[in-house]
Amino acid sequence: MNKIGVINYGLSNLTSISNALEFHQIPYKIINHYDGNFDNDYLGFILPGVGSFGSAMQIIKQSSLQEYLNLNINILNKPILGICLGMQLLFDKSEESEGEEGLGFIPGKIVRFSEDCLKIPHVGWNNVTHDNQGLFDGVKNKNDFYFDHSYYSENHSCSIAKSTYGIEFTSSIQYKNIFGVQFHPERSQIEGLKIFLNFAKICGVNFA
Amino acid sequence: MLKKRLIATILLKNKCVVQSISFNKFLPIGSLEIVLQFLEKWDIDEVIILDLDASKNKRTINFNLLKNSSRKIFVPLTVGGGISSFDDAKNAFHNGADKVSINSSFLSNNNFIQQVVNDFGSQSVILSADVRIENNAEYYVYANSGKNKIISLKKWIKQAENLGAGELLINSIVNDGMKNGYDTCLYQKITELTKLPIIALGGAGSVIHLVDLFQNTNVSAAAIGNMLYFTEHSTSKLKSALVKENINVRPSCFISYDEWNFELDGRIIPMNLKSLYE
Repeated sequence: MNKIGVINYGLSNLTSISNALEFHQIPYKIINHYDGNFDNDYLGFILPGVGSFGSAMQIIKQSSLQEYLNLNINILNKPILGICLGMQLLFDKSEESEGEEGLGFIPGKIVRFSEDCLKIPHVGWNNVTHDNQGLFDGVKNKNDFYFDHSYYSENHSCSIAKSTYGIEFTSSIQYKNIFGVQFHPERSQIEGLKIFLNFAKICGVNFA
Repeated sequence: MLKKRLIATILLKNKCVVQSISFNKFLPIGSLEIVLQFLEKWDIDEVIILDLDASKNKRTINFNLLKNSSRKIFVPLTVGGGISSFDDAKNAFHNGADKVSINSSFLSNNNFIQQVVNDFGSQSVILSADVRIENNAEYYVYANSGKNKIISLKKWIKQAENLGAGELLINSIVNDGMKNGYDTCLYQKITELTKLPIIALGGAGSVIHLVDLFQNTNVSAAAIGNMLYFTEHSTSKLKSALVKENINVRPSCFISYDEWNFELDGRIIPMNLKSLYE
C-alpha cells in the first residue's frame, strides 16, 4: 500500500518521472493502461503527460483508466498530481481537442496562448510565484521551472501558483485532493524534485 | 519572465564525448554520464546529445548508454543523430529523452515526423537544418554536411511549421566551429519568418558572441559546444557574465559567480587583493 501509482496511458515518457522519484527513494509503481485489472493498492497517483489532449483522453477512456481514477480520486479521495498535459486532463475540456471530454475533476477549460505576439510553444524556464504551502513547501518563491506547452489554464480560483507569458496563467492548481503543475518538475533541477517530495508527503507515503 | 536558454551540444563518437574541430579532427572529452552530471551541476538549461556517426552508419544513438547516463539528470534532454523512424523516436523517449532532434532537408516526404508529433506532441520534435547564404542574398538548407543545396530556408520553415515542429535548431555552416560569433543576420531574418522558437547553433567562442546574439536577435536559445570544455564551471561562469550584461538568463542554482566581474572574453577579472584582506 505504501506507494504512489504512476499512470502510464501509452506513449508518455515515464523515465524522467521514475528518475525523479528514485532520486528521493519514493516508492512507486507504474500502472500500465493495457494491464486491465488495476489494484487499489496506492496512496496517491501521478498523471504525467505528453502528446495531445484528445489522443490521451481516448486511451484513458478505452482502457477503463477513467473509471479507475474516478473511484480512487472522487470516491476514495486519494491525491493525484497531474504534470503538464496530465494537469490539463484533470479539467472538463480543452481548446486543443474540441468535443473531447477531460477527466472533469476540476471545473474549467484549457485554452491556447494567443499567436499575436508570442512564440508558441511556451518553452523554457520561467518564474513560478507561489505561497510556499503544500506542494511548494520549502521551494524558493519565483524560482524558474521548465515549461513546454501551447495550452494553459486561465486564472482560476483554485490556482496555487502563477506564471506570466504574455498573460498571467495558472502554473499550479489544487482543488481538494487534486493537484496539477503545468511545468515539468522532473526537468527543473533541485527545486523541481522538491515538488515530488512534497507530493509524497501529502499522500502519506513513508520513505527513506 | 521566460528566460533565454543556454543549451549544451554534446557530440558523441563511439560512446565517447568529443570536441569537434572542423568536423574532421576530434578531441576525446570523456564519458557521457560524467559530462552530463558536470553540466547539470554547472546549471546548464538544457542538453542536446548528437551522435555524429549514427546517421552515416544507419543506426541510432546507443539507448542503453542514454538511459544509464541520464538517471541523475534533471534538465531537459534532446537526442539527435540517426532518428529516422517512429520507433527510433519512441525508443529515445522511453530511455530518458524529452525531445528528438531530426536533421532533415527533405521534410515533404517524412511521414514519421508527423506521427511523432501526433503521438508525442509538437513539443517533442526539434527540426534542424544546416544553412548557408547564397550570393549574399538568400539562405538555403543543405544536405550531406553542407555539400548539396536542397531548398530555400523560407520554404523549409513553412514545411516545418506544417509538420507541427515544436522548435527549430538552425546551424550556420559557415560559422560552425569557427568560434568567431553567430550569424546574427541569419537569426534576425529567421525570427521574422516564423513564430516557432529558434535555437541558434554555430560560432560561439566567448561571452560577447552570446551577448551579441541575444541583444540583436529574437532567438529563444543559444547552443554552445566547444566553449563547454577545459574550463571549470564553464556554464556557471558564462551565466554570471551574461547576467552582468543584462541578458535575461536563468540564474545559477548550484554555483554562483555573481560576486565576480568578467572580461568580455569571459575571463574572470581578479578581485583587488587589498579588498580581500580588509
